[in-house]
Amino acid sequence: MSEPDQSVTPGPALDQHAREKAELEAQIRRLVQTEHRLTRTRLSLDRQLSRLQSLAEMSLELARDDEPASIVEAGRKILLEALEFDDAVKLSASVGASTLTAPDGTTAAIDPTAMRELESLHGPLIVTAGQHDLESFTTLLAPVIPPLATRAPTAMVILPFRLVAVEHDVSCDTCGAVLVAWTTKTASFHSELPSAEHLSFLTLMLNQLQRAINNALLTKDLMARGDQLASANRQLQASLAELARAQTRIVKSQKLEGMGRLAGGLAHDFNNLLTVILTNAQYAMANGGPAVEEDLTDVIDAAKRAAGISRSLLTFGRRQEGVPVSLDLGAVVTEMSKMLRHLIGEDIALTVDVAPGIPFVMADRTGLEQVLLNLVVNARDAMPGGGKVSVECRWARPDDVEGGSVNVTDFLALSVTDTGTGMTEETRQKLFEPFFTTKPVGQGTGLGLATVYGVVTQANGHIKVKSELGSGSTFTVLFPVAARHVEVSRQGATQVLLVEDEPAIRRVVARVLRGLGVEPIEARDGREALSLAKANGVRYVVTDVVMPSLSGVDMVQQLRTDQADVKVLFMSGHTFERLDQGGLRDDELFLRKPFTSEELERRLQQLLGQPQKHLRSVPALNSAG
Amino acid sequence: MTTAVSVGRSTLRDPVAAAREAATSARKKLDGKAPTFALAFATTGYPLDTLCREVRTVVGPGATFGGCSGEGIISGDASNESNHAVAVLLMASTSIQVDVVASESYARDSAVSAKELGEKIRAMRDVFAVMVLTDGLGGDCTAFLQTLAREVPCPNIVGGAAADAMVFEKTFQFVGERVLSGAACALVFRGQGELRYSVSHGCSAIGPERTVTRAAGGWVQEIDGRPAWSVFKEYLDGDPQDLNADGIVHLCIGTPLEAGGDTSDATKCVIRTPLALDKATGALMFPGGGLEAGQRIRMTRRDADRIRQTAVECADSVSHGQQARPSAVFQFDCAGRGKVMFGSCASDEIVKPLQERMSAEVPWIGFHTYGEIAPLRGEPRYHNYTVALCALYERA
Repeated sequence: MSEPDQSVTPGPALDQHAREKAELEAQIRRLVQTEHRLTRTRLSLDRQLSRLQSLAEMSLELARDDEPASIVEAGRKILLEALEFDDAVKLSASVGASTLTAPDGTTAAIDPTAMRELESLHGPLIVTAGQHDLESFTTLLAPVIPPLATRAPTAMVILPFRLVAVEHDVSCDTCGAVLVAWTTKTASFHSELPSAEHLSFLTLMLNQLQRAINNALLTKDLMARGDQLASANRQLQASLAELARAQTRIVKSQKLEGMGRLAGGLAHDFNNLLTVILTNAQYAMANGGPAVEEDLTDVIDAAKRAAGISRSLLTFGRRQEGVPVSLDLGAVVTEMSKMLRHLIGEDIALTVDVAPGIPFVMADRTGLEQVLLNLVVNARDAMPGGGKVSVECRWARPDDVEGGSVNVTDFLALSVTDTGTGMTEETRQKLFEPFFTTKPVGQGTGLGLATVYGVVTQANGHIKVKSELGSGSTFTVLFPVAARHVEVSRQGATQVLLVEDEPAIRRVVARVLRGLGVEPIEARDGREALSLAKANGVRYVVTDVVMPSLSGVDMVQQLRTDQADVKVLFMSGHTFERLDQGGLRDDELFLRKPFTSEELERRLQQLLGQPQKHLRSVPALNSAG
Repeated sequence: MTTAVSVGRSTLRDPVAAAREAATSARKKLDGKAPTFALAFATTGYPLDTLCREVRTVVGPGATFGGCSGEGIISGDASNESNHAVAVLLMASTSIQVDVVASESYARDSAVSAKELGEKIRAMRDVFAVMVLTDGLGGDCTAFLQTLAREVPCPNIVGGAAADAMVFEKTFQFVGERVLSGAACALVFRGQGELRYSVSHGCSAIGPERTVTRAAGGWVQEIDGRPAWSVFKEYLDGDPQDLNADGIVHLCIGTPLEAGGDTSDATKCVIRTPLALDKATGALMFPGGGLEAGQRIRMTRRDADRIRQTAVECADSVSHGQQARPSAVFQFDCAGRGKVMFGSCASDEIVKPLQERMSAEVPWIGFHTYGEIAPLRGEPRYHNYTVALCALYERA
C-alpha cells in the first residue's frame, strides 16, 4: 500500500495567499478611505463647532453690550478673529455730499451713482471673487481703504447700518455707515471662502450682527427719547410749580392791591375830614383861649393819631406820596443803627453789616426809614426772650426774589434777620394785610408791615420773607439801584390863585393865606381857575391836584401857556404822578394831605418867598404805625 | 547665565503696530539687555517689508536679524494660523552669537546656493549649529542640504521651509530688514552653545511597497507605471477631482532612510507630502526634491495618536540628560499638522504637550512650515509632515 501523497501543491496555496493579501489590501484601502471620510467629517464638524462657538461668543458679546459702537466693534472682532478676514473698517457715509470717511479721517468722494447703490443696501452684502461687483466695490472703496488698492480682495462683506440714533443727528446728512470687511488672496484656506457652508454661516452671522446694531440704535433712540421726555416732564413740573407759585403771588398781590385801593380811598376821605378837623381845631385853639385849649388839644391829638393811621393806609395803598431820591442805603442804615439799638433794648444784639462799595438806591428816605424801623420793631417783638437781629445791606442775590423775572443786578438788598419765634405759613400768607397782627390787642395796629409793603412796592422794589418756626425770620427788601447819586432837591417860590373843590379845605387855606397877608382868588375847579387867572393875571397858584373836569396839573399846564413863570403849590392826598414822572419843577411845591396849619403856612411862605415865621412845634402826622 | 532670550507676539492687523507690539514685548522681557540677535516669524497677511522694518526699529541696529514667513506662528503655548500673526525672539548673549547670512540663488540652483552659504559659514569660527530657513515652494532642498552638509563641517543643520497661507504662491525669507523670496537664509549659531534636535512624524505605512517610475523637477508623474494621482485616489474617499486639504492631511509617502532600507516600517522612512496636483497628467508635486524615478516608496497615512506621542518623545529627546533648561526652543512644525489636522485644538495637540514636558517658562518660537529640516542618521534631511524640535543650550 502506498503512502498517501502528503505534499501540497504550491499553486492553490499561493493563489489563496494572494487572494487573502489582495483582500487585505482592499480592506486597508477601504479602512483608509473610511478614515479619510471620518477625517473630512471631523474637520467639517470642527469648523462648524468653531463657527457656532464664534456665533455664541458674538451673541454673548452682543447681549452684554447695547452700545451700537461696541456692537460694531464686536462684529468686527468676529470677522477678523473667527472668520479670518484681513481687516474690517467702519466707514461713515455722508449721503448728501457723496463721501465716505474712514476712522482715521480719510475722506473720499464717491461717485453719486455708487453712493446711491450703497445707500440702497438694506442688508449685508457678501461679494466673492469672480463677481463683477467685487471689482466695482473694490474700486469704489479703495480711495478710503488704501490696502484694497495694493492687494485685490477675494471676498468682501458690506454691512450697512445707521451711524447714529436718529434723534441725535436728524439734521445731519451723515447718517449712514457701512462696515466693510475683506479678505485677500493670501487668506488662510482654513476659512474656506467662498464655500457655500461658510457663506451661509457668514450670512447668518451678519444678519444677526445687523439686527443687533439696529436694535441697539433703536434702544438708544428710545432711551434718548425717554430721557428727553423725562427732562421735558421735569421742566413741565417745574413750570407748573412756578406757575402755581406765581399764581399765588398774583392772587396775594391782587388781594393786597384791592385792600390798598379800599384803604387808600377811605384814608383819602378821612384825610379831608381830618384836615378840616385839625385846622379848625387849631384855629379855634389859637383864638378860643384857655377855656377850650385842653379839650381842643385832645381833639387835635386824636385827629393826629387818626391821621397817622390814615397815612399808613395811604402808604399801604400806595397813595401816600414818597419822594424817591438817590440815597446811600448803607449810610441811612448806619445812621439809624444807634436809634435802633435803643429801640430793641439790651436783651437783643443788633449787628449791622453794610457791604463796601454798594451804590445808591432810589427810594423815599422817610419810607426807607419806616421800612427799617418797622422790620426791626417786628424782629424785636418776635424775640421776647432776647436774641439777635442782623441788618445787612448788600447787592441782591437770585434767592432774594421769588420767581425769575427780576434782574437782581439792578437791586440792592436790605435784610433784617431775627432769631425769634418765626411764623407759620398761615401767618406768612397774611403778613402784609393791613390790620393783620399776631400781637395782643392794643400792642400793634397791624399796619407796620402793610406800610413796609406799600413803601417797597411804591419804590418799585421787591420783598421776600423766609421764616421757620422756632428759628426766626428774614425779611429781605430790594430797592432799585439809583442811576445817579444826586439828591433831588426841591426849590421854593409868592401871591395866589387858590383852587380847591372841597369848600372846607379851600376855606382853611384861604384863611391861612390871609394870615400871611395875601388875599387869594378862590376857584372851585380847574376851569374856573383858568378863567379867573386870565382875568386877574395871577403869579402864584395853590391848587388841589384831583378835581372834577380839569385836574390841577392840567390846569397849571394850560395856565403856563400864557404865563410861563407862574409858581405853584400842589396839594393832594392822592398819588401825584408828577413825582413819578421826574419830580416837581423848580417853580413847583407840593403839600401832602392831610396837613397841619403849620405845614400849610410854612409851605405857603415858601411859595411866596416870605421869611419863615417861628411856628409852634407839632408832631409829624406820618408817624409809623 | 550670559544668555537671555525672550519672545513676544502680536495678532494686530496693522503691520507696524503688530511688529512694535511683538518686538517691544520681547524687549521688555530682556530686562534692559541689548539684543544681539532677533528672529521673526510672521504670516503673510502683512506687508512683510513694513513689518520687518518696524521690528528692526524696535530691536535696534546692534542685533543680527533673520526669519521667514510661515503658514502660522508658534509661540508660548499656542499656535496661531491666522493671516496676521507675528512672533519675535530676541536674544542678548555674550557667549552665543548668531550670524545671519543668505543666498538669493536658492530657487534657481539650490546646490549653488548651498555652496555660497557654505563659503560664508566656513569663514566663521566656533559654529555649533546652522538653522536654515529656505523658500518653501521653489528649490531642491534635498540637494541643498546634501551640498551644505559637505560644505559646512557641522552636523547640526536644522530649520524649516518658509510657507504662505496655503495658497502656495510665494514664501519669504528675512535677512536683516530685507525681505527676500526664493532665497535661503542661514542663522549661524557660534560660541559656547549646543543645539539639540529631534524629529518625528507619526505616520503609518499602508499598502504594498511602490516605485516611482517617472519623475522630474519635483513632480512625480507615475508610481508603478500609473499616474501618481490615481494611486493616491485609491486611499481617498469618494472620487475627489482635486488634491484638497483633507487629502493632503490624510495621505503621504515614505521613502527609506537608506538605499535598500525597509519601507514597511514608517519610523525608518522620511515622509514626503504632495502639495499640488496637475489634473491633466495626474502628476503630484512634492516640494523638497529628491524623488527620482526608481525611488522605492510606501503610501503612508497620518495617525493623530502617533503624531502626539512621537512629538512628546521629541521633547523628551532634546531635553534628555540636561541639567538646565534650554535657553530657547525652536519648533518647526508642518503646516499640515496644525489647524488643518487638529482644527481648533491644534495648540492643545502639538504645542502645549511639548511645553509641558520642557517647562512653560522656556522661550518658545516656531512656525508652520512647508518642510522641516533636521538630520537623521547623521545627514541633514528634508522632511514633510514632521516636527523638528530644536533646543538651544548654553555651554560653559
